[in-house]
Amino acid sequence: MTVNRTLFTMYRTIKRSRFKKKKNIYKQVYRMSFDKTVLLYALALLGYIITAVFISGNFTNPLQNGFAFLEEIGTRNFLVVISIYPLRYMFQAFRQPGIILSSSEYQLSILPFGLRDVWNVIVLEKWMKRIGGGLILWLMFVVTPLPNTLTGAYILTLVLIDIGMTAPLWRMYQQRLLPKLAIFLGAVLLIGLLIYIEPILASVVVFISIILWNVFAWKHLLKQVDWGRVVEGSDHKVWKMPLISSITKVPFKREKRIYVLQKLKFRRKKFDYHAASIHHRLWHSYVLKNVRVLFQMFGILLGFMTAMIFVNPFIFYLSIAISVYIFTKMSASLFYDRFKTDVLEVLPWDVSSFRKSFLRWNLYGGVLLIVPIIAYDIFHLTWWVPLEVALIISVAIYALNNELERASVLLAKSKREFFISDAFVVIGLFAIVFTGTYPFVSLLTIVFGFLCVQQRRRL
Amino acid sequence: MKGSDSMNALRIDNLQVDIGDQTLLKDISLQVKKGSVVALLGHNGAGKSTLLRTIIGMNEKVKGTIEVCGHDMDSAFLTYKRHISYLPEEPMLLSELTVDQHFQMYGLAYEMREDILEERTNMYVTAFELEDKRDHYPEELSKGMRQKVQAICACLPDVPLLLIDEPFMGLDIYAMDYMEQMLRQKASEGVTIMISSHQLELIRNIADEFILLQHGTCIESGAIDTFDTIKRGSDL
Repeated sequence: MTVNRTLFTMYRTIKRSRFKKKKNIYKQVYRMSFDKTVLLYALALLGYIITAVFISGNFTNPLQNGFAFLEEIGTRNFLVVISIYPLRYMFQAFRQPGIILSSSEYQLSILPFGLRDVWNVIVLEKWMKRIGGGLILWLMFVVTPLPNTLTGAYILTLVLIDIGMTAPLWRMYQQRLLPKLAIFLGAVLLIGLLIYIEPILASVVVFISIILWNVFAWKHLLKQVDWGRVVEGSDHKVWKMPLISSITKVPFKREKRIYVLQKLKFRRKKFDYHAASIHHRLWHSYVLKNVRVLFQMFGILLGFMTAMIFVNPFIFYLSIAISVYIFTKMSASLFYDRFKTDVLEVLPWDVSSFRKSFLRWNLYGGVLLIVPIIAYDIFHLTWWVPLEVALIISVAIYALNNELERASVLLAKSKREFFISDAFVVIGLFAIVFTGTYPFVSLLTIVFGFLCVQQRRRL
Repeated sequence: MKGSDSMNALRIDNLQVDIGDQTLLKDISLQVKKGSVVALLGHNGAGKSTLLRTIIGMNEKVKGTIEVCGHDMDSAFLTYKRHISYLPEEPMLLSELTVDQHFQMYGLAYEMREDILEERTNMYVTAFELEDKRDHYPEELSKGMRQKVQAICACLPDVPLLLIDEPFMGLDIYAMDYMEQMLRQKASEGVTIMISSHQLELIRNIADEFILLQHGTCIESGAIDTFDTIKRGSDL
């Protein structure tokens, strides 16, 4: 592996500039978010706590047992740990190429340097960092009661595996999903089996496999590389700043590519020429793109309602009302967002027709939210239960349609008052809250059923 | 470009567009006659794309009114939008849809009849040499091909106003030639075209009139024959 010195200097400059840029972003966000005085007091308090811990005595004493335990576990399982450790890189290959070759590094190949030279420089820097980091980590462990030979052996082996897995991880990342999955599952099974037979055998096989894999990987290092994917994955890793993201509320999304779906032949066929078929595809793609947010929302709401079952009936019905409210607001905001994203923004869609197809997708989500309600009702079965469930569903449908109507009005840049319908939503939500305590409230289902029919007629 | 309202395809009054603290367009007032081809000229950053994006509704205006064929943007947005087709500078294709599916999407959005859509699609696809790419996804096409697909999409519907942002970028010489023909054809059918481009010679062949933007304001307009040239940024 030869390394071009000029290229190395340029690469370091890029990294330094990137570091400075990130530092400035962090600085700006900190300036906006934290008050200097509060920060100063917080630091003073932290300093006081640390000093108090040191003054109060030998702080390592309470940890002595822990270190002894660690030493015992570490010694006994050394071979197991180093046999399993390469699996971490194989798992990583599903998302990351292992080395960061972002769009900036890729630009270097436009200059008179080959991509292989750029790759070499990045890898060399990564290895140097790993070795340096390993050394620092080992020095930190020197002050602990753990034997230096044990920590040294662990750190040295793990750094060696890290270096040894660079090229295999890079090659594995380039594989398609199924071969990648087969390699990973095969490795899990083989290593598991060998550990079960004899851990030393597992470690020897793992080390020999890494060496052989390296021979192959280095030979075919830059063959059939999807540079677009490498750059996209690296850009995401470089600029993903979770703290900034959470403070600024700006999500650092990874560009989603629906490779697997694109491979399906039937998806390339033309649609039946009517609105419903294209709406369905557009919503399907949109749901897939936002699947993480949707999982989070449904997970939180389901968890919330399930937990409230065990508190008391009133609180449980309150949690249902809150969940209906959040669900409808979230759905409406997704609906609005769909028309403010990509080419749909410039097309003159008939929003009401889109709304009908969107309601179908909401039905799938709504069914999920019914699960805790049914679970609760099974244990609190009365004659009122069907009416209660009907009330919840009718209020949810009415509130959802109301929110979607509001979003449609916004999209059409028109103005309309929602005072009366909003009032009905509030009444409906309160009715849900009190239906657990006063079941006769669920008779309001008739009213909300009627309102839903009226809404549907207007659509 | 002055005339009575029934003669105008586009009418903008006192338009202002801000993004954050920055004013991108200011005091823009103009009227574009039905069936005319207007070249939108100016330096990079003059506000050409911003103006087109504001007309289509992608940028929010701070003040002013925009009317297309008498339909006000603020009172009947969907009807207003049905009168416009937009060809953006950068293709806005969905990675989940194939080339043919994009044409269908445009056809459905503009409520085109299926047979008319099919006929036009076949004509444009042949002319732009995309016959074997119809079931391809955007990622499987070159940048020029994506631009061609987007151009076809924009030209499919029968709309009175066509907004075009840098149509020749990334196109090969034959595609540029066909694009020019296509725009002439549209203009001869009475479609009003507002086109932004830096390719002045090509624009002179197509346009009847021009609007010159500078720092977000309209500084000059008139017949394209009277247009001299854009001064260097440093000379302004």
